[in-house]
Amino acid sequence: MAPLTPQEKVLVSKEFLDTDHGEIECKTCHNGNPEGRTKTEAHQGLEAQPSINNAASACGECHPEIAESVADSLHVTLASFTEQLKARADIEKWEHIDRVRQNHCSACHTNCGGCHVSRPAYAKKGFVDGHIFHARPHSLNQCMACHGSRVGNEFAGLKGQGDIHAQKYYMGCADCHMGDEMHAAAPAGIKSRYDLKEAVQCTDCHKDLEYGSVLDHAVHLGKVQCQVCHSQSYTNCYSCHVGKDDKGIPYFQNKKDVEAFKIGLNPDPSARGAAYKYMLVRHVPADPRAYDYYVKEGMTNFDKVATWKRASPHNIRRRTWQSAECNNCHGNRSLFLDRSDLLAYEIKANERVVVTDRQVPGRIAKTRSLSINSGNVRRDMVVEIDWLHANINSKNIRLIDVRPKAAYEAGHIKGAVNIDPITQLRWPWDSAKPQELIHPEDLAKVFGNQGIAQGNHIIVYDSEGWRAGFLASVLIYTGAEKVSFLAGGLNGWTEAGHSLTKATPKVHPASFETKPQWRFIADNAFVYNNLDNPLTVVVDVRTLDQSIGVTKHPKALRAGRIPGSAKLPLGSLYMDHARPRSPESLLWLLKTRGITPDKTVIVTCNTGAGAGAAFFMFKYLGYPDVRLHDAAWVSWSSIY
Amino acid sequence: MFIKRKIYWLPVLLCLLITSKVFSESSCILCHTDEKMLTKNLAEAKEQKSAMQSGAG
Repeated sequence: MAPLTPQEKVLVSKEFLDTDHGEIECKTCHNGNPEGRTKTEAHQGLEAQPSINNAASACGECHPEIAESVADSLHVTLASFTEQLKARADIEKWEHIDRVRQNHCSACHTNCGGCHVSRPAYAKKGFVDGHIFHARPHSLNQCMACHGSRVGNEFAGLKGQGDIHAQKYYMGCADCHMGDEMHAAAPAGIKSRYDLKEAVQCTDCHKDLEYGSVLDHAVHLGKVQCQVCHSQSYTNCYSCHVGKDDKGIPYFQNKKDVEAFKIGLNPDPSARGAAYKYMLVRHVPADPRAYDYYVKEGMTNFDKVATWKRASPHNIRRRTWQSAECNNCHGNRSLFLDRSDLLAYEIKANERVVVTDRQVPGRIAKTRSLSINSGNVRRDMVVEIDWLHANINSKNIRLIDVRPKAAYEAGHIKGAVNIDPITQLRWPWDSAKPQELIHPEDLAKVFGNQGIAQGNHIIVYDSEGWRAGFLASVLIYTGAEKVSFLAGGLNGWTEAGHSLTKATPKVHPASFETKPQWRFIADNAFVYNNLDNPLTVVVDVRTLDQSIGVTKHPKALRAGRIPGSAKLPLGSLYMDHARPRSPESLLWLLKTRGITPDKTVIVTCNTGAGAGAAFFMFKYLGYPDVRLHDAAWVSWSSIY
Repeated sequence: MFIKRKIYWLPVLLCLLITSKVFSESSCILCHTDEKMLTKNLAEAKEQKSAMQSGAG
């Protein structure tokens, strides 16, 4: 979601004036003084957010029934969150805890305007469409402005493949979550948003599954939640603490977030839409000491509510790794929430959710074969933290920190040099070849100046994965003989207890003898000439909102994608915190999408960086003919 | 004479019509539909985010 300029936030379009709402005098909703000739005069008594502070009169005048029920809706009251908090709290101290809730946790509530005309206050406000009211909220600018870090990222493919509803059917949030649900008044004491009787369920559309052609539906109905089979891994947050800094500004700190997939036991099969034994559980950032800044020992009943909570990740796929073969789930202990997954303070809270060994469904003796050939995977192209720690002083190892310079200077692994591939290896935006890779001879100079020769074993790392993957691909293209990616990256290194340094290593310039692998690069003409080639597949690794043409890179001339390209966001290949996904699951996934090693694979994105990261993963998986679309969509959209 | 008067009053009438239309619009509309003026007069609000904040939220 691109930030809005101050003027964009408040600019009223001429088109708005021709709408029904545009015919209403501004003062009717916003108060203020329309006769004022200065900003101060005109804004006297102004109500900038009428629906937040005065919905009953501003919106209720024309929409009385909706305004009345919305006042008690979950988006306005966050009632289920309050109930969970009350259940954990020492009720004698509720006054303090409620103050915390209001200062921090309630910042993201919204009302009519935040869904129908502006970005919500939590997302820094601003008109979505020049003050024009839309009955359907805008998924990216409104829903995901708040529900972004988990739901939005998972849906749009910033993590994982994205959701099939978005990818294949171009659906947005409001296609499932309609007005009846959003406007519904939540009953007093509601403990979960799932308990709202108007809340959407998968089976509202996917009806009568037990009678359909999919045998697994009939077998699993009433036993597992839909998402157990149809979701991908998702973000779990840990240990949120809140406080105020020395300037009095409220803050929160999440200790960590982990991309994982955990199946737990359903503690309440009588709950609405939850008539099953197993369900996905997501770790919520609850912590008994979360509010210590305001009140000590406020959470004396912390054990009353599980911290692994029923989850419905918005990253649905028809086919997933866990449903690919029975024993990917059956007998796979690591997929089920174990006592060892719990932190010391949350063991009791999750007693009813943890799956014991006996409760893990047993392996199935006879299953269908997946027929995956992982024999060509170049496993030496990915190294683990322990391996690096043991080999870091080897004479031939060269370590490159691929993060921006400021991040490198704040702390890096000892001995690492810094190369930023985004700014150092490509033609600048204002050049004749924006974002294209510079000539291999010039690339070799950059590497040589950092003491890197083509014969070194070069290890690249970052925090997210894609930058390191991109640099690795450029090194391979330039002629480096052995390049490896550090699985887990910087976070993995520090989590393993290893230290960082701010000291820059003494570099002895080396001679990097370039052997350019020209066939690894695809220019626009090559892509164009192969669009109809059945033995070539173009893989678009941008997020779904870009590949389905809802948004675009700011430098691209238009939104869209290369005709016929496969939509496979980069998160399909990399997990959070620079962890490559398992080769077997990737080979299976790519096979299901028709991206097989017998084809020429052209990877594309916005500028070439994400494509580079994907290029590396395809080489790691052993694909023999992979090509990086240089400068990618920003270049393509300027020509075709 | 009649023609002369007609020519004289026509622009006056037009002016009156235009100005009455403009002044019938509130200062809210005049300002909030003028992108240039908004750009000139609005500064980027300083972000009230604590340096101590971390994590996805």
